[in-house]
Amino acid sequence: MLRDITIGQYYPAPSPLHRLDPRTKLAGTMLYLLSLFMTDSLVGYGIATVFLFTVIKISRVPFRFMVRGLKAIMLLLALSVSFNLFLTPGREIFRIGFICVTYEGLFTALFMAVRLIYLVLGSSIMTLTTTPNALTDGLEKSMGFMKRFGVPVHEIAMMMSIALRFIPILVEETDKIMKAQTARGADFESGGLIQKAKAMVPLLVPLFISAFRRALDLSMAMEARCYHGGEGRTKMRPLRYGRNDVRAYMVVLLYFTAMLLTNLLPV
Amino acid sequence: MESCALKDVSFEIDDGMFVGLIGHTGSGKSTLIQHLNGLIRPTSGTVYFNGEDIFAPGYDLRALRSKVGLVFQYPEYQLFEQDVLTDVKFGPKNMGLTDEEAEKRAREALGLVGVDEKLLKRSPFEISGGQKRRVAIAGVLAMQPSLLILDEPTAGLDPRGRDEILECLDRLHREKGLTILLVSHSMEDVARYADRLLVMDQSRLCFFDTPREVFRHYKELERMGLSAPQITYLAAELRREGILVDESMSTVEEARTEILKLFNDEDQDQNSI
Repeated sequence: MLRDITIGQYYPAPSPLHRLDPRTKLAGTMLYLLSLFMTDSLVGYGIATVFLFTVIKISRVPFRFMVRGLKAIMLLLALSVSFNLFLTPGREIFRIGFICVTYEGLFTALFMAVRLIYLVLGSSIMTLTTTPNALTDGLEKSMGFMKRFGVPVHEIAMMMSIALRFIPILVEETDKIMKAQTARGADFESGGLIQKAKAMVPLLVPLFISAFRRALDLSMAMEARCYHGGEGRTKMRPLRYGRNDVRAYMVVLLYFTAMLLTNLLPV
Repeated sequence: MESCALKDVSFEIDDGMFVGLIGHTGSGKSTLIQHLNGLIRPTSGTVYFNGEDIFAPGYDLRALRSKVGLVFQYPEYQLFEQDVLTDVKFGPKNMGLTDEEAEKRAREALGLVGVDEKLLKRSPFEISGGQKRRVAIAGVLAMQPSLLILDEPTAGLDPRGRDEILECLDRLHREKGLTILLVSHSMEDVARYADRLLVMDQSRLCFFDTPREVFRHYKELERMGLSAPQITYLAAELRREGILVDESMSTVEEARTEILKLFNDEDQDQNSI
């Protein structure tokens, strides 16, 4: 019943992009997102398009997986496009009642839509080619400097990876409890909103209890193996930059400089 | 990738039977029992209850679930109410019974599984593991099913808790005429209580016969990652030594009568000389 929910959308494939250090991908994605906000010119968008689709090609992730992420922002996309399209003053194309479509509006709306779509595509490339655990590892390492300001970086990263690890377990547990209560005549489908919310109690109470129980067991098991936080802890696979990472950084920086330069061009 | 969870599984359970279901982990036992009360819909084939196809359109599955009670593995994880009594009332209330009727049934079910009166107003989370298990079983019994299916009801219990649960099931079977389907890993338990055995292996039904007949094939059972009761092995060893006991004995009681009979025969032989 609940197994259809997919969270953590990693797509395994043998691509150089998958093998990059997660820090490289994080930094690259950041710069890419930043570059999208810096440019307004056609040339800039052209470069961003070429860059994006080259990276998608390299990643070997089927394009339809990328598009899936777009469904979530459909509403946002429609709203921002229509606001820009109908409410930007300028040279008029046509008018229906108080709604007026202008050339300027058309362009801003178009750019806005492309920018939003590229933002989502850009960040989904990262999540599709990086396992959630590698991602938290990368975050932990690159946020390491925050420790000096008293932020428990390692602990936060550990909590994130545990939370991610537990999602499939809890989904399975939900399925099991749901079936057990259905066998006792519980009805999760019919009824109005309030009735449905009430019907969730026999599901949620056992689920919470089991989550707490698992958390207690896990913390006990971690303590039994002398876990005591990040201090002095070594890693089985420490993150190390390789030759491809250097290349990737160079490509991204080159791209970023090009994007900066487009702003200087007279358009 | 598609795989079949169940294949070629046909059998018929008569009223009043005590059926044991055994099989290696992943052989399809849990999947099978979830079909029996309509929690899982088969892609092909169907299930009949009292001659009616339960997957036919318009068949009332909720009504069926009160007739075919299913107790999952570790059923205590489904407890959620504030006190034991209210939790057991959950099933009967879902059947649309009045509060008094539900309470009557709940008290009766709790009595049947041997939960003490004193515990009824306690929270189901602060009683012992064995008690929780019984409360959860009572939660299904309170719907007064005619067929009770239990998925390893004794898993994780101490020997005493295990015996108490099994004795209770046996009593329900004998006194209330309840049909019982018991999924178990213990060959001793099914040999002792069941009068029919279903053996599953790799999604298929391998045997459906009396325990004695099934355990006769203990070599095949071993190939499926199962075993026969220890007494069956004892019988085989004894026969190899030339002591001709009945090879299909499977419980300690049967072994005792069998061996005593041999001694008696021997005495008579000596007397006749």
